[in-house]
Amino acid sequence: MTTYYVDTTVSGGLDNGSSWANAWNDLQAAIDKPLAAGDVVLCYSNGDTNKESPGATIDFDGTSGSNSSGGYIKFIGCSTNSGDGSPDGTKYVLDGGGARDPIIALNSLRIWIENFRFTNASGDGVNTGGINANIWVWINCIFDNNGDCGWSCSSNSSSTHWFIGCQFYGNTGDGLEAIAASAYYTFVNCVVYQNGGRGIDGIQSQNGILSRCLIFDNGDSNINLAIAHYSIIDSCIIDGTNQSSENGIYLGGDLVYVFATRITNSVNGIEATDNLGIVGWCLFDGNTNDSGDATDTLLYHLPFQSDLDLTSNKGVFSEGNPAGSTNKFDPDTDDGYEDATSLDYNVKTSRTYNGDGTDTVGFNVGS
Amino acid sequence: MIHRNRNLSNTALALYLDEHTVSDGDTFERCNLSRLGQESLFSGITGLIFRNCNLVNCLLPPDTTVENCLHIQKSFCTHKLDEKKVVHNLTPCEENCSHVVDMDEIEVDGVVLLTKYYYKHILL
Repeated sequence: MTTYYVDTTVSGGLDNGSSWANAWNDLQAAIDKPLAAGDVVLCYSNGDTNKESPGATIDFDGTSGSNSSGGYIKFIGCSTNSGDGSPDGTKYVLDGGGARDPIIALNSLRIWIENFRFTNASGDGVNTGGINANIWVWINCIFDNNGDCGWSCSSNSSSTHWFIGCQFYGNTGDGLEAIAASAYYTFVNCVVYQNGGRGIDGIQSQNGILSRCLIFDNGDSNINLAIAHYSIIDSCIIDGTNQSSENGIYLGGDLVYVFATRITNSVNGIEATDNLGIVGWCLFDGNTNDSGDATDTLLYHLPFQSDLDLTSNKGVFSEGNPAGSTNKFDPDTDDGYEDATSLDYNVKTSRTYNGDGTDTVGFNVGS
Repeated sequence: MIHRNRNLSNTALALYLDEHTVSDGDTFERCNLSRLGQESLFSGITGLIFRNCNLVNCLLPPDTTVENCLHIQKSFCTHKLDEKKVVHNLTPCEENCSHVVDMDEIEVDGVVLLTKYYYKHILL
């Protein structure tokens, strides 16, 4: 396991990545070397000050970690170009300059990308290009202001991606587009907003998971699970303010579970088009239709009342009607978000958008 | 006036302008004004400033200042968009449109039975 170095500001070194003084000037130079599983590549660009503007799409073709030994190859954006780089969330910025389509193409296994920003591509910020890119981890990355999607997986299969603490915003198309079948996606603590298309489009995967994510103000549906099966959405905030005609969540596949999620200000809070969805302990508010239309006969809502007795299997399911799954039974006359009674569960949520990378999602479910 | 952190893409701009006014010298920061088809925006308004915005397919007044924005013109192929995304001012493409980058033909006895086209969005 070896540590290598990329620094967009260095000059006069040996250009072999062996130290900060001899760092490579660009990311592609590092990828082109025979990196091994377990290697770490520390990357410094001083945020926007000395961002990298790649001359061609950066191609990960063949650079892979290992499923059996050594694990991931890690690329980590750093805040300084000395010592261990002091990674503190400062991004290594890849700016497509309106000419790169996409900035990065993926075709490799077991890659870990942390503290990176992908911006201003003429097309997608990141695109798998229809080839295999399996088991990638994206931590604290930003995909913004790209000419198509922020992140796109067009057609490859058996693809697994983890997004932790990532932001997808201001892209012309979707924040994230996953058209591929048999792909597996997990989003934790991600923020997806103000994209021209959908927030998250088509997790056509089995077992997709979105947990504690904030998804709002996208031009189309916030979440579109076109043919996704067995997916779970929990503890998210999904808000359709400024969206004129779309869904909070569209369920196009069976057995999608939506739990403890706030779904607000959308035309259809959940549109299930006659697919089997299980919804429980969510808060619906301000939607034109909380639960889509009359065709959603397989959209089941767990009750919010205290009469749900799991030990004796006495839970009451209300079919096609969200009333039982929200805290609309809360007797208080205020907004109902923070009330605590002995008869209902309560959802307390908040979002703070600062626009400077310190966005927060507050969420709590109690009784 | 500063218009900040807004999704004004495609039809959202019209909704915004129902409630807000854009005047000479206004600034847009971190707004998404991208359109799927080219569109002239803010005609007759002078001295606008855009910072850190997505301005794909925006045709802006000539004295506009653009700082650190994605400002490109792009022809989107409707074959590569699902039906629900073909919105706003985008005209559906013909089968053999200008976005075709490759094609396959299936022939039997010299007769083309099927033609499959491959498309790509094009930078203008």
